[in-house]
Amino acid sequence: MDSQKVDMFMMTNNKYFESYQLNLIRDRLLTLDDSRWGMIQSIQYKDPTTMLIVSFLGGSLGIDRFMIGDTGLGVGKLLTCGGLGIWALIDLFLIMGATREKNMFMLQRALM
Amino acid sequence: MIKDRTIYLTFTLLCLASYSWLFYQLTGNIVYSNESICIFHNITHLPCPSCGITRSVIYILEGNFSAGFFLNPLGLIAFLGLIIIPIWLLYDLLSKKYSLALFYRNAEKFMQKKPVAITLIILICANWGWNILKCL
Repeated sequence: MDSQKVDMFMMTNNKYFESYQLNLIRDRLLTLDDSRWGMIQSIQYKDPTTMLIVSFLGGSLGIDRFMIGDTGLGVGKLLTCGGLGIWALIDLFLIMGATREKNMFMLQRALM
Repeated sequence: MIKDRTIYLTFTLLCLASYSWLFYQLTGNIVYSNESICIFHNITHLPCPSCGITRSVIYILEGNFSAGFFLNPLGLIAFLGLIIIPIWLLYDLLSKKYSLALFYRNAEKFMQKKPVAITLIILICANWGWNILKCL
């Protein structure tokens, strides 16, 4: 793919991924066929900052985990009152990384 | 995709935490007081969907199934989970299989289907409404 397009993608979407994944994504996109561009562009990524706010407000009900697609963990949090509040507190620190991993998973699925 | 290791770690920690919490409640005898560690309950003074599960499990342990069910039906599920999951974890550990992780993934996929998800959400919300009415 055209390096200009790839750089534009990287610029607009770099906050959705972990920093160590960025080079990998760039290399992968450069080798990708041009016809896939539309599909890559149309993926809706979850914003880690939004998830942090959701985790702060609804973390003890597990809403953050449900939203990023970890339904099982969400049910676990819901049934234990956010893991007695401790799990909800830990998730405040983990949720941004978990969201970025989910975004990477979505992109990988589109690239395959 | 969530890793197998994370699934097993989460289940083990949850089981350990639940059993120690139950043990603490059974020996400390503070279950029936109004103190709560639930953040949601302390902020809004409303019960959360899972309020009353500890009391429900304790009723069931005393053999009073109907009281446990009417206090919070989710207590029955928690009780079954507390019995089954440690055995399942041990089985997987001893036989070196990954059946619990497989079950977890399949259950997650099943719950993400729209009709199932909507039914479960309605059930949880109904139970929550019942909790609020009961003033747990």
